Amino acid sequence: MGRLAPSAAEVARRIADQEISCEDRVASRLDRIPRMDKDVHAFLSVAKDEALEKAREIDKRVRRGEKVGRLAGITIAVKDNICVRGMPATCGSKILEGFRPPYDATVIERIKAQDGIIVGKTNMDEFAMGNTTQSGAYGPTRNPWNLERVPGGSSGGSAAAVAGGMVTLALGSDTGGSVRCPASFCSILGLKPTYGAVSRYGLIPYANSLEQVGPMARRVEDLSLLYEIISGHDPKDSTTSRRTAPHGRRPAGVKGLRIGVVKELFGEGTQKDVSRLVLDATGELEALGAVVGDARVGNLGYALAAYYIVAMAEASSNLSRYDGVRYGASVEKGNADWNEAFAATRTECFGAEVKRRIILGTFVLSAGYYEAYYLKAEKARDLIRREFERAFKKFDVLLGPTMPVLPPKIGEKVTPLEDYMIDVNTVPANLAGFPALSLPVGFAEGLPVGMQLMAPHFEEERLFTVAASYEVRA
Amino acid sequence: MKGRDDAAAGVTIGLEIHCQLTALKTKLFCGCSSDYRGREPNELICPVCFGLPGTLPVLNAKAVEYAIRIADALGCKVAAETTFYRKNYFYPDLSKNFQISQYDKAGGVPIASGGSVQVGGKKVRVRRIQLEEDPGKLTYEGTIEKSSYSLVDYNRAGIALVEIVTEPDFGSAKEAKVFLETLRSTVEALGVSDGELEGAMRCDANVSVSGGGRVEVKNISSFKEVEKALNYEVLRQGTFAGTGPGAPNETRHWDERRSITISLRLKEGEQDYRYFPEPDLPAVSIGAEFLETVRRATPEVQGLRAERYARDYHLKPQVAGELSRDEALSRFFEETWKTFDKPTEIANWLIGEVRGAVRSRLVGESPPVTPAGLSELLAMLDGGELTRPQARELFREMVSTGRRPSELTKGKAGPAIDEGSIAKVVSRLLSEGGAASDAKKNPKAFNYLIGQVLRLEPGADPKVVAKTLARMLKQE
Amino acid sequence: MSRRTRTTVTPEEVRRLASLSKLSMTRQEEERLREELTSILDYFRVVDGVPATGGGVRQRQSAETLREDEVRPSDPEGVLGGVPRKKGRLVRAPRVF
Repeated sequence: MGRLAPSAAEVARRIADQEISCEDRVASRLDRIPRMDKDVHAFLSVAKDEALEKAREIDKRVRRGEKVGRLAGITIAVKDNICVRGMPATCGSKILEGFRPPYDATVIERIKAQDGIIVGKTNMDEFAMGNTTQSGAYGPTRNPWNLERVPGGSSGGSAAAVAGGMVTLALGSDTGGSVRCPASFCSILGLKPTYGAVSRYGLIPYANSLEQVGPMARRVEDLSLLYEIISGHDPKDSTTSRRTAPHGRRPAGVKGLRIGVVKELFGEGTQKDVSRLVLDATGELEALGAVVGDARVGNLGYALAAYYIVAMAEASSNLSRYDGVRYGASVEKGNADWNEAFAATRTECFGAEVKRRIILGTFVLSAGYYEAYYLKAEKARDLIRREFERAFKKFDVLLGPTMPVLPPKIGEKVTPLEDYMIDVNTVPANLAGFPALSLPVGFAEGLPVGMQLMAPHFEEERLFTVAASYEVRA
Repeated sequence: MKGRDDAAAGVTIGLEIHCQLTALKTKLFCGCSSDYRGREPNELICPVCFGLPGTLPVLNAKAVEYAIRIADALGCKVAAETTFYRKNYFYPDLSKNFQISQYDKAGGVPIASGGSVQVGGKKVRVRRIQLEEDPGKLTYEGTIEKSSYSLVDYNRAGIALVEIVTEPDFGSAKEAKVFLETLRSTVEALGVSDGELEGAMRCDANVSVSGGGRVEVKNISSFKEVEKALNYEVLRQGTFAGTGPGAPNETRHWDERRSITISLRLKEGEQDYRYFPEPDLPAVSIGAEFLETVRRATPEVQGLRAERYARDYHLKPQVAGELSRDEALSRFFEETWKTFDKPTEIANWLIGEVRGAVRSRLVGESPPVTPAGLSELLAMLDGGELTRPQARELFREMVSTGRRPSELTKGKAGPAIDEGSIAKVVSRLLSEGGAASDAKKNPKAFNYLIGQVLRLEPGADPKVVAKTLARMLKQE
Repeated sequence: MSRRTRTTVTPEEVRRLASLSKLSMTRQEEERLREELTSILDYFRVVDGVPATGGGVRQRQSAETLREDEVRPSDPEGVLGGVPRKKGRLVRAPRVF
């Protein structure tokens, strides 16, 4: 799917050199969306006129001999929990119906500064809580490879838009795997950056200490370009690091790179086909000169519980602000006092999964339970981080399957706990803050399988090297 | 309601004061101007203080500095690393339905704690000082009871507050009021807040009488109201005296119009704030260098302190002045006073004996002598176990060895030279004639003679020498 | 993995949590939620086995690197634009009494 097509950087150069018209290119992309998105439903809103307007403006500047940005003419889809001034930001929820942020997220400012064309906002699980993009209030998204399957989540809309060829690049957010999971299920690339590498200003939060905005693309060069543009310290976000990935200090290739296959990521629930494809891919990396070994990372049995405890706790607090007073939907309740009125709006406008997580989060923060749950979960995070640090002493990159299963069927009934369990491979990177990338490694039963690579903090470049080497293997 | 000193009636009052840092130009977590008085409603708001989804707080550096100034003035210890916590509850004046504040339990570290001040002759302990954001303002059409909706102005939302919590050390409403007034003039002198501005200083209190329940009194709008509210509450609780457990624990609301407190009848255990660390704000490290910079920039509150020392510790004006000019020595003085209650002795010692190199060591990183150690030494001097020259010698030893007086005097020679030996020396000097014989009439000569005796017997106690000399001169 | 007494979530607990979170539910929803919470919270007890050390502050910032106290333009019009109910410039909220 488009790996032989020109890279985004190449397209931007052609536009800058007036070899192709920006407006023509963007218009042709936009024209495809209604047809291609009819069944997939990746987009919640498309800003066609604004996109064309921006494209025309870029052509004008180019004709005047002015310099244009590194993303000039590149179409980009943005998950609907990332704020773009004047465009809707619903987070897939009724409670933010009608909300249009009066400001741009920092990542959006940086994309606009490089002349990226934001084409529309994409579908997601409500407030990023989910891994299937089925729970949003505005309908589900389907997997472009097989319309009866989920595209993964919660950034399923962004993944489907890229996989379906509707846009070149997309932004998602990854709290417990929400970029990597849909990337894996849709056979594209997705990166969860190191915690603190990318600004969260303008990302409507689900769990602040776990999440990052992540780029999604069909080829490694595009992925790393978008990452480079959006990452870096932001004075508006106190959790961003002044350290950044060493851009340009990319290892030349995988030769001699020590790759560890993490046994614990091939747990009981891992489907055979998934295992096979990931190990095959590992074999190919070895053939390219990587030094592959078995890695052990202990204490991962705590990861899922620790993740959910912390995420739900933070979410329960982050979602308190939605009460119908200052923005978004507001349920009229006559002469009700604030308790009743707030409850009316929140009860009607939040979906079931969101309510469940708010209640659970409230519980684990309650007096009497805080120590047993929240504080213990925080200690588990520390423990897991140290385990990975130990493994990273022996290996430069660690790998395993991104998801233990093939994309599930739409409408499959599972209990909440069963659903939470498939995040088992992705949550450790969020807990410990390490960067993690999912790359496509093949198909089984016609369904995509992804492999997850992990590196120490701020070593995204290693991930790009391994992915790029695999991408061009003979 | 006339106030009276109820200290004897088992009255304990603690205060929780919220002081706006009105001298800041911006709010605590965003760059909106903090100058909200007299503005149109909802003029000074931005996505951050309004709580728009996706926005993040960024801490104001000057707020940290100003909180440290207040902490120093109240004798508190500033935390090396301070953390922010979320206090979760719903209310229309809270733009996020949580308040970013600080917490002193479950691992939370407020910006300062453990201080004490002497005010109006009373020692008041300060439990903690913390930074937090002010909510917006609720108003109504007509009266609060009849209005079917409320109206919110978020201009004030996000304004920087310093919360100061005292121990229940006040024994009367009057003591509390004096403290508040002193606090107000202090924050003004520190240049961090104009306490006269409307709403700049607010106060809640907790009152307990004769071991009865603890009652929180909220909604006290001004300092004038504080005294009235507290006096009312003390009297009200007093009516429970002799009826078993006393007044019940509860929260009450001061009704200014009717001058009474009303029970808010909150259900037991209803408010669970679910405090947890604010994930959008890293912990703030406050290093020694930063503290130095802040302290050097703090306006001279020496005048206020000198006044306070003269008034509350009964120090002579010159002594008060000289001592209060030295910030670090003043702190040392107040710390020592906690365990040795003769402030004049402490002050004189610090001014007289602690100079130059000794002073820099005493107020440095790891002082050889602590306030507790000095307190021990002065107690021994005061009790007659040491003469002044011996005490000086011991102090020098303490400074050079870092050991406590009790350790150093173990097994040493006994107390002062006895009267008999002194009498021998005096009589020898008198028999030499000359200036010595003038000593009867001439005070200067008298003192000169004492000096002579001490030269010959350095271990002698000057007081005993004077007594002996006077006696012997009388006999002549 | 050490285990303390099993987590049981009572109906009163569910109601208390709902009240704290400003969410209302039918008796049926309450009961279903109670069951779900019990099984999820029971699973969460796996963290009992985590050793008592660790945790604490994750990120630090020096006092010297905080935001300067300089005024930046406010954005009242942008912000007020999304408010569902206003009276003049004031935000209309439910009554509190």
